[in-house]
Amino acid sequence: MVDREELLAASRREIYDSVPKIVVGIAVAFLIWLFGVLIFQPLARMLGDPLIFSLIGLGSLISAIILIALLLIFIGIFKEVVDITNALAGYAAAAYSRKETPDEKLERYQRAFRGIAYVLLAVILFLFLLPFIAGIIPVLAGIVLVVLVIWAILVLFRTGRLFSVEIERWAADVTRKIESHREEMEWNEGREE
Amino acid sequence: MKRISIYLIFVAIWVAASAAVAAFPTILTPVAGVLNAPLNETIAVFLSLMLVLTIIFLALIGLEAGRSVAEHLQ
Repeated sequence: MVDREELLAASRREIYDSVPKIVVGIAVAFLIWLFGVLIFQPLARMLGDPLIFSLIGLGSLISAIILIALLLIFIGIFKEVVDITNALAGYAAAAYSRKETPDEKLERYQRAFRGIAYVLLAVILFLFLLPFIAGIIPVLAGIVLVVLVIWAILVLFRTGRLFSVEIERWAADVTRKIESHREEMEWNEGREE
Repeated sequence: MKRISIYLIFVAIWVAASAAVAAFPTILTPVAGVLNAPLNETIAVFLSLMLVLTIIFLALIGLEAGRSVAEHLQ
């Protein structure tokens, strides 16, 4: 069992600590992406033109360097994203608890939030890397996308199952309310007749 | 803020050097002669070097910006 107030304070602290690091990391990645796509790739393509200088492999080399830099930045961000998802899971678990939150529930929420965060991070990473993967081997971009879609479906399916208890409880509550409302209406109609 | 401006000037220098070499590749002929390498390879190495330097300086700008934001928040 985890104390609710303690959990909320720890989650808040973690969010304050991790959000600025993620913002800085994404800003740097975006700047590198911008410089790569708008300046260095066109320059490499220009020099790679057989009619100008025929440096055919330069475009792939430049793409590979930018790809590695972006991957390093995203590896740096990864730990912070995991911390933030744990903090968000803590918030969510505490929101549905009165005084103490069961460990099992907290762990289930953390796994579910982590799944969603992994998918979001992978999609953002793919969007960042797409021009550079396509710059090295164009077919690889398509293969990575197919693998990403299959993996995202599996992760989101697992995440949905982790929330199934809450969804079932919520659906039962709604059904019960509708049922009682219908019974009330029927009783009122019977009295009027 | 002062450091960020200095880093930005450096980034501009690397980018301008890359653009100059792409526009006039023959300016690296003396360098290729000194390195005893073909001009093509010299240009490829130079452009890669400029790219790596740009990436490093952009990362430094990011770190500096993050530090100043953290100071501001405190």
